[in-house]
Amino acid sequence: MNEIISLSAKNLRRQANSGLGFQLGPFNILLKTSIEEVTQHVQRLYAAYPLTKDHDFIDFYVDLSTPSIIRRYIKPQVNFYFDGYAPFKPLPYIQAAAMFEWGLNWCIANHSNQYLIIHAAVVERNGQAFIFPGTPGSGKSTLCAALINSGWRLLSDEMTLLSMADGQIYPVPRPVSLKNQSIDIIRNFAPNALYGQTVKDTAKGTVGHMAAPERSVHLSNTPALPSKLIFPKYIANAETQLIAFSKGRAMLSAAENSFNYNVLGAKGFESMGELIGRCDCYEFKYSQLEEAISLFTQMSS
Amino acid sequence: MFVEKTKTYLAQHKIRVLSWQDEFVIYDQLSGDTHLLDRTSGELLSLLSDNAMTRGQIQEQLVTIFPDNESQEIDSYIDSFIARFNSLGLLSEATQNQ
Repeated sequence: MNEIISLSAKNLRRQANSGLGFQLGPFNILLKTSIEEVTQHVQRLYAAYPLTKDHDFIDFYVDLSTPSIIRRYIKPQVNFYFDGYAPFKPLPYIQAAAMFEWGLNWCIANHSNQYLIIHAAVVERNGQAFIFPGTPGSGKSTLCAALINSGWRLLSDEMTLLSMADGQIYPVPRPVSLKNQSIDIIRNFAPNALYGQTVKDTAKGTVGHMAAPERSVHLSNTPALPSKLIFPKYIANAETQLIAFSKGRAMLSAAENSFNYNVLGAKGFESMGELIGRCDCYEFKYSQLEEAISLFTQMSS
Repeated sequence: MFVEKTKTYLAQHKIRVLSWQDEFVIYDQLSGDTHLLDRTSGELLSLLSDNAMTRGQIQEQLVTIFPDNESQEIDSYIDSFIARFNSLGLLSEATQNQ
């Protein structure tokens, strides 16, 4: 199967102009854009993703473009369109690649109700998926980035897709979104990983993306069974602490961190209950990535 | 014939219940709300979802769960249980002819 890396920069730009189709875990995306920053972002961070074939079903048609000719030159902006509809206000042009990522998050979170979706990073080792739900600033993406640079497989750094049909977690490995201090922390931790452009002064502060490991992308069709549900909290200078979390409280916290628990009603409740029943649940405080990795690697052995 | 009207309490039929050790998680299908309850409240609400019970019957159930407790404590527990779950919409009151 052809991957994005098989396209020259020129061909990639040409295809993106008319519509570049590629697979992202269980979804097919058709990206249309003439914005150079976005095609460069895709070329660098999506190289290993398979291209769709001509007649493949497309789940998400996305388009990134400038709102008007004037806005190409004066305070340039970028718009994200999904099926021709702009769900967000335009952002400064420099944030185009980040907007592509945020827009895709929105597409998946709002249109994939075959899954119970938890706002959580999820990684796998030895067939066991560890889920790290967390609000922004909890340190889940930093932890996730460090783990996937230490032999763990990335399923997602942002959204855990729990199938309500079979209770497995389906991978949607995308570039890991790093913010503020975590950008330098992870660049130092994994200097050989692939990074995209760093953009300052976004609504989330300074943001940068790290490519998903190639192996994780190649295993995009292989789901994993949930094993641990761990609520991380990064606290400067904190000692590494793993504290058992009662299943009832874990269920309520996971529901609060879900994008569509309320939409799914009783089915969501049952699926969340099955997930909680299957997982050991913990709260986790940390400041040292090496200690965290060592602990989780031991737990997955 | 003398007809006595007795108030009975009934949990909303549309609840789903999961339990782990001393915790019960209740899903109210009517409101879409999820609640975390202690074991006693959870068990009582589960019983009430099967059958409407009078205050006396609730008291009997609680005496079997807490045989060492004073009846005054049980009375006070029932008051707070009814008030709490009424306000959450998880319990309905009915007046039944006996």
